Amino acid sequence: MQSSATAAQQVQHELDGIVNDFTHDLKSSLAVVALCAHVLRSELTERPELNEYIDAILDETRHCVERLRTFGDSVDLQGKAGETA
Amino acid sequence: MSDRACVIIADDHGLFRRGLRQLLEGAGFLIAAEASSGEGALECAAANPGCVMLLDIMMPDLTGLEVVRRLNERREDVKVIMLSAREDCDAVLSAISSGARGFMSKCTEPDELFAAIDLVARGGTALGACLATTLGNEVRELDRHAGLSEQRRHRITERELEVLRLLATAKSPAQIASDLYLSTKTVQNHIQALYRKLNVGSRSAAVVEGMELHLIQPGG
Repeated sequence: MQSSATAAQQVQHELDGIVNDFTHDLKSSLAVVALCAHVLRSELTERPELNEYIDAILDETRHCVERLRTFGDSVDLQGKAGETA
Repeated sequence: MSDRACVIIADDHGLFRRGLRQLLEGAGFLIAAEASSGEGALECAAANPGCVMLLDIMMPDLTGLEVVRRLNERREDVKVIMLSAREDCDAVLSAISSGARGFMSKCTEPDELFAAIDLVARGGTALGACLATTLGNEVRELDRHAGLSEQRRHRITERELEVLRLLATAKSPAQIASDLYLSTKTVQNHIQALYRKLNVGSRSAAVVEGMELHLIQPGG
């Protein structure tokens, strides 16, 4: 009984590691995309017609980051629920 | 001449460094140096005292956490803000305990980052809004775990815990009974059981004890 609980904890620990690496890598890439969009906005002040596109890039990256945070939190909560049970 | 801080950018992603430099310079910050590795960050800090360093965690040679530890040991005159895609409590707490003066997500909005640099340059500590939320949740989670352990130790049932939470409000036993769809007599039995298990003799003492044992939180 105890060994199966330990094995489950081990699996959860490994899953946490994979999720952390996965969300970190994706958020790093999204951070670069968002940063580039901010730079473009600061440099394209004479092309206001492009703002719509820049806003879309920023909105979509924010949305993806939020989804990743929620995903990471839900995996984390499942792990904590498993520990408590 | 801008009165904003001089900044060192330490990140192994070249495009990220360039973009950040452009944004920071546009906002009036002076970029003293850039580093693409942990060792490079240490050299930049030694050569540019008095700066705020934006430091990534994941770097090819030394991690950002190791860099901030070494800077602290060497008593370098540099204030470090970790700027990372990691947003977990372990990373934040490790960084702050190693000597970092701030922790911001790479996904933060530029204005929030600028304000954080200004704050740290003035001697403050900065934490990104989403990280503050994460830390707050973790503290509440710790509190909940402590409460669970005390609940088990005192053999308090879930129903008694519900009654204790409602005792912390201004509700009468009759109102508590109505909220929980119980009779007033049953609620009074639960209250007496709580008094016995918590070794107290009054409603206020039960609530205070409940808070001290993390069974209930102030304000609910």
